[in-house]
Amino acid sequence: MPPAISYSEDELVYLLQQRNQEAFNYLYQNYSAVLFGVIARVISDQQIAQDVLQEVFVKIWTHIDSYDAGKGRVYTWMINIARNAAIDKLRSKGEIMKGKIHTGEDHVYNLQQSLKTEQHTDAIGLKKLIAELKPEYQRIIELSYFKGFTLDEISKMLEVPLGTVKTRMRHAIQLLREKFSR
Amino acid sequence: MDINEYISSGILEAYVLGALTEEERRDVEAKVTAHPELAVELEAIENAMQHFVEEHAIAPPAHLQNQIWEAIEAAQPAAASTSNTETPTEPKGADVYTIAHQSPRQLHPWRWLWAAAVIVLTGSLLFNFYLMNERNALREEQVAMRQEMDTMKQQHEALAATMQQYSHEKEMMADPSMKSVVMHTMQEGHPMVATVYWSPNKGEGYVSIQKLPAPPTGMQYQLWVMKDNKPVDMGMISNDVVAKSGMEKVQKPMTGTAQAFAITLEKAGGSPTPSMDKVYVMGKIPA
Repeated sequence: MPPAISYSEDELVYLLQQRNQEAFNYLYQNYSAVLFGVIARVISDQQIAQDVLQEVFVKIWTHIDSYDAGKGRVYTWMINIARNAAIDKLRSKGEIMKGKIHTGEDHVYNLQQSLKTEQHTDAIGLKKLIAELKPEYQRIIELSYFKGFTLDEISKMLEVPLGTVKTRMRHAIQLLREKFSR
Repeated sequence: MDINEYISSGILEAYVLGALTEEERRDVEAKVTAHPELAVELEAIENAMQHFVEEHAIAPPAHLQNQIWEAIEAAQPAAASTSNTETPTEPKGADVYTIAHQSPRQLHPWRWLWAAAVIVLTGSLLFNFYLMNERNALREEQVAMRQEMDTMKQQHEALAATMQQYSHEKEMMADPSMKSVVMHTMQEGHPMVATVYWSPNKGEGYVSIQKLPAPPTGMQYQLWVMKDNKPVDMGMISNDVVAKSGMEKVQKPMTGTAQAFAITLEKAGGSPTPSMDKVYVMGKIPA
């Protein structure tokens, strides 16, 4: 369900700066599904995911002036706001588990959780692509992009050297690039 | 810096995937600003991830659109109020007109009406903002409480599971036929202790770890019983129990008479026969 982008990046920023309901409706109709898809992949609880989506729109609305066009596209900026807000929520939810963090058990739990998310999205037929990626690539995208772990943490979790984590990231995205350039 | 080497290292992908520390991020950003080739590559990576998330788009429930707009309005009182103050400015022209045709300082009844309307409108607006904020605060509280409930539920379940285990263990211990066999170290200079609680009639038993080193990766402890001077496999001991110095049920029950229990270090999943040089602890079963 790619958004029907009829506005250019500049127009989109301008539109956001108008801060009126029409601009919001446009933004919502074209981007809410993508943003919600990202959030739902991080947080499995539907209700919390919806709350986060609301937070994300409010954030986009109130922070559009701090968006720096020199640092990338506004679309990427919005996706990252959604991703970070969702991961923050996930972390605050897991706050109580802090003591357990970095134990093997915890990592297994995280891996299981990420696998669960994958099954969940599979079940509603929304992704075929990641299934085409090898499991080690899937896991790396899942752990970094959707669960917010750093290179160092992923390297420890998967028990592979840091350099290998980076090359796997490169290969995974290279496959995506090939697939989308088809 | 070798640009190609930098690109093929995967650092730009790690940047887009959000796996870098704050310091590493800043470093990448500086390099991208300095080298246009890196910016091109970075954009291609961002594009790929953008396509990727688009493939996973999920439409949120329809009612959210209005709810979110309300939340946005509540979050930006400044913008919302400017659009509303436009209404009261309308009568200005009318005021100028009426004042010119009225004796000074005397207010036309219409003007009173306008003033009243403006006051009522402003009051209602302020009240709405107040309600909206109140509502958002309540919603946040609700989310926090739901999360707290989730955590409590999890803790409760864990506690219930532990309780069940304890009561079962208590039952086992109260069994008069239960034998306890303390196994002592077989490796000189390495003090190790574990105990087997075993019911010869039922064959059931528990193995309790007091002191055993954590097995190396890919290895696991295996429990054996010497029966007619032959070792019989009684199953594996989970590494988790070893790490916690805990107790667990013996995997493979064994009834009848036996001479001794022993624990050996084997490859994960176990061996058909014990590695004799890897006998860690052993204890004789009293007749």
